[in-house]
Amino acid sequence: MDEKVSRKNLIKRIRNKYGRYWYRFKRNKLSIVGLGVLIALILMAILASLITPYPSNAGLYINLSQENLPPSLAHPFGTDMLGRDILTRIIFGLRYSFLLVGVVLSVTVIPGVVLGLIAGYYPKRWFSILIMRVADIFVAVPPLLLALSIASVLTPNITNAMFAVSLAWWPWYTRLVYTSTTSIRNEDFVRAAEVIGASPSHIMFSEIMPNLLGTILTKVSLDAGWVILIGAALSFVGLGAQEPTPDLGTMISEGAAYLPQVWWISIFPAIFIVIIILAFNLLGDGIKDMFSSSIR
Amino acid sequence: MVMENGKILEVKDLAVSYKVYEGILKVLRNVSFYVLKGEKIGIIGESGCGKTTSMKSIMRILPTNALLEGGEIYYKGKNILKISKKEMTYLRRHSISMIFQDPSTALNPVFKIGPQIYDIVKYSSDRRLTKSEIHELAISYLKQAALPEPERILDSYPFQLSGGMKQRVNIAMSLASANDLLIADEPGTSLDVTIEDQIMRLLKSIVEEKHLSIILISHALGTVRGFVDRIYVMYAGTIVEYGPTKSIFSNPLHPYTRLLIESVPKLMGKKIPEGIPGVVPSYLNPPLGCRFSTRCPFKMDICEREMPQVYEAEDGHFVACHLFRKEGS
Amino acid sequence: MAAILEIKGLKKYFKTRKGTIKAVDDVDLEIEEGEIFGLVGESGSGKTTVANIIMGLYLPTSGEIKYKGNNIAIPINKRPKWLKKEIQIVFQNPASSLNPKKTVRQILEVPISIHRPDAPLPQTIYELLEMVDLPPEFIDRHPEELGGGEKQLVAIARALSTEPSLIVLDEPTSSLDVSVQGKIINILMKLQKNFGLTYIFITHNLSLMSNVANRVAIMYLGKIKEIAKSEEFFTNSFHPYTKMLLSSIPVITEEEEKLKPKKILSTGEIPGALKLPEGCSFHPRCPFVMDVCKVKDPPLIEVSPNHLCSCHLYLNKQ
Repeated sequence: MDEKVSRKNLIKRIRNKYGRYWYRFKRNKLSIVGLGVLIALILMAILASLITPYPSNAGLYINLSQENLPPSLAHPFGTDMLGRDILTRIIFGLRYSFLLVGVVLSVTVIPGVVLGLIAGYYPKRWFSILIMRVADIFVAVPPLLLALSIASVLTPNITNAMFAVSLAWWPWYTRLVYTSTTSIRNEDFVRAAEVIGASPSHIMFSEIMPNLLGTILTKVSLDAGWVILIGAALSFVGLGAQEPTPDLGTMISEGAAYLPQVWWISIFPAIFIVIIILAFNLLGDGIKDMFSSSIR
Repeated sequence: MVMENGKILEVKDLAVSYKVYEGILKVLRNVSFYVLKGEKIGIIGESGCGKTTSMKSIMRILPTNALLEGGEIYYKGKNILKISKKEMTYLRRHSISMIFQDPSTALNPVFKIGPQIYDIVKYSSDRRLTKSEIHELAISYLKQAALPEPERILDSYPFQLSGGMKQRVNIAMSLASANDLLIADEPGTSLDVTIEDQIMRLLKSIVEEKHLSIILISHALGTVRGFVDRIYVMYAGTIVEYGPTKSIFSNPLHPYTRLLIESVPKLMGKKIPEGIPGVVPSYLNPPLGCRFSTRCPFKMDICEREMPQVYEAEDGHFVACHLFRKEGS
Repeated sequence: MAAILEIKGLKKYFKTRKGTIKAVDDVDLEIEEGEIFGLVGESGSGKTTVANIIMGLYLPTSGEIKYKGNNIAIPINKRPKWLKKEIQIVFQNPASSLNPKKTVRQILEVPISIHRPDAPLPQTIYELLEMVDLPPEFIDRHPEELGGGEKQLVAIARALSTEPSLIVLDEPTSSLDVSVQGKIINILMKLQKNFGLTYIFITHNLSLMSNVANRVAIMYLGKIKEIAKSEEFFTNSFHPYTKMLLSSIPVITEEEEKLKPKKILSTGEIPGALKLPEGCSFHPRCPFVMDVCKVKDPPLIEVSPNHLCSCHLYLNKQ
């Protein structure tokens, strides 16, 4: 068979495959909205120092002559009690929100998934039982409460907040992957791999895992919103990012003291949190459709 | 209600496509068939040939990406593609009913059989029934489906029943609303042979006793043979041949029908049948002409260019194949 | 001919909360080298459990199972490499037995690299594809791009890739269309002849067996009811259950109709595995039931040469 032709076919098939994912994703218009909003927010976060009107306001900056100004053309979202532009601080605050999501999910998903795979593949061995019982204990406590209690015994700063949220998060992946693995484990293709003598690690990572990708990615996307919410909650009670770091949760908590007259300090960051969570959820729905075989 | 020549259902030139990522799947083309009052017809064809799409068109339960591209479906003289949703619901409750292939997914696993069958009995009645009337009717349907201890069945969850019993329950449920036409989509396929045999015999006796019309959909030639009066053979979204059961089996005309019949392993056959070479064409770019032309051993030039017309080869036995083109036509 | 697989007194009981399920109950079988042995039964007969025990996917509760004289009642992950190479399986549904995320190349590479490290790649894969009559360009396709029959051929190629001696075929054609079944069976037969393979062909389809198998065993609720040469089943079957099975087969010609035993119409349900009937497990459905059937389970005895049957009707005629 002509090598060139086969390469061409291969490329065509690959394009076909990814095209199909996109076709399924875009069937739901709201998923595209979610994706678009997230891309815009991430770009804003990255380019914060270029696009914000008062970049210096992100840090330690006090200008009491400008304090608590209501929204205006110069300050579309108004200013806070120290005279800082709220729009600027929100855009810089996005950086911390996305950083939190990135760090928490990258340190929790991989160990969570690996532990779940092992426990699901050897459901009756002692180490699997240990993994799952520990995961159950973590899951039994609501993640917000758990993160709060972990963070409260540590020095309040952004690193420890990430640590606290991560510790609360991994068992959810372990449980999700465990359940899916125990069912995929009984599929004939896994049995066939055992029969031909494939090693357990090959079966776990090369046969089972690719089939879990859709489920995991969907959960990652849906979770991202929750991680931001919990991060904000930690900051709100003073266990996360500290002044003068522009964090959405911290900003809400600072502004809370001035409610209801100076509503803009709290309300605008809150609106952004809602938008991010919503966007991640819409994206998650799209990813779910992307991997669903029932949509052709 | 007007019925043309006693035809309870007539499908004319039905064309249905599906919109998918790769493009448009041109599934059904020129599908026409009819059922007389009290007649048993069979539609046979292999997986993906459009049997189920045809039935879903009749019941108006096509998936959302389906495109109805042409054709008419007359039920008791009315085009049911044109009637309102309300009228269609009325037909589904009182006149047409369907039995599905997999008896376990057709029943809701979290409810007992009782409430599931009561609901159907309740909605299929024209007047408001009392509780005891509903119960009596449910029991009588279960009895008609030859279920022993109907009281116990009503009080059981689906998982407590065997596959055969579940299919009997489905039959009982369909009896409530099938006063005229029953569509049975592979009713015995998921069951064991000995149980399938029982189910088919039961279905036949019920249909004959109540003088119902039935469309039996199946891929199994043997199952259809012992059951129906007339057979339609479908291939790749088109009807290639139809006629009385006896003459289809004794004198199959279309090359596809012939090869299909030869493919079935025979009891005490000395040789394993070869099957049909090649694969079903893709619905994305189906052949311009006869859809079997890509696999047909008797292919002629015209077969690739033109879809064949339907010719009457024998009395009541029709075939859509260029081999049977009459002189001068 | 020597026995390649010997099964003696094989039992597999599953303990559940509601009681014990006797999936396989005292089964004796001898499979000869190079033979095609048909194992026929309906759901719940235990035929798939037997297959899973042979493959090491289940351990027997008791009884012996020997492959070429070696005990193989070993779970699959503890089996020596040579044994995994020797026995392979083709599952019923190729849609679930092929990993949807893998290409044909990836599916076939794994067993070759494990069991035949010296075999050149990808030539060996092309050879395997040719053996099962698939075109070489299928090598980079995913299962979803293949038809049902083609998928099953890939599964057959995978079973062949370790160069086994014994292949268990678990309903290899029952999920396929009738027009492609023939092709699959013919390829299986060709391979069996070319490589001298032994097949255990598990199916519920008796009419297929008459064309394919040398010998056939009928199982019902975990027990073997009858074993005979396949041609004898249709001309001279003994067990009432076999006759019921035969009379239930839908056929398409008048000649076949005449072959079927007319008298026995299928009645009753296959009882749940939890509460098996006392005595002969078939007696509640048997039209010839006698008092003794309800209390005593008949042994499997040789009623005529090489034709075994387990039924009280034939106990005295020995």
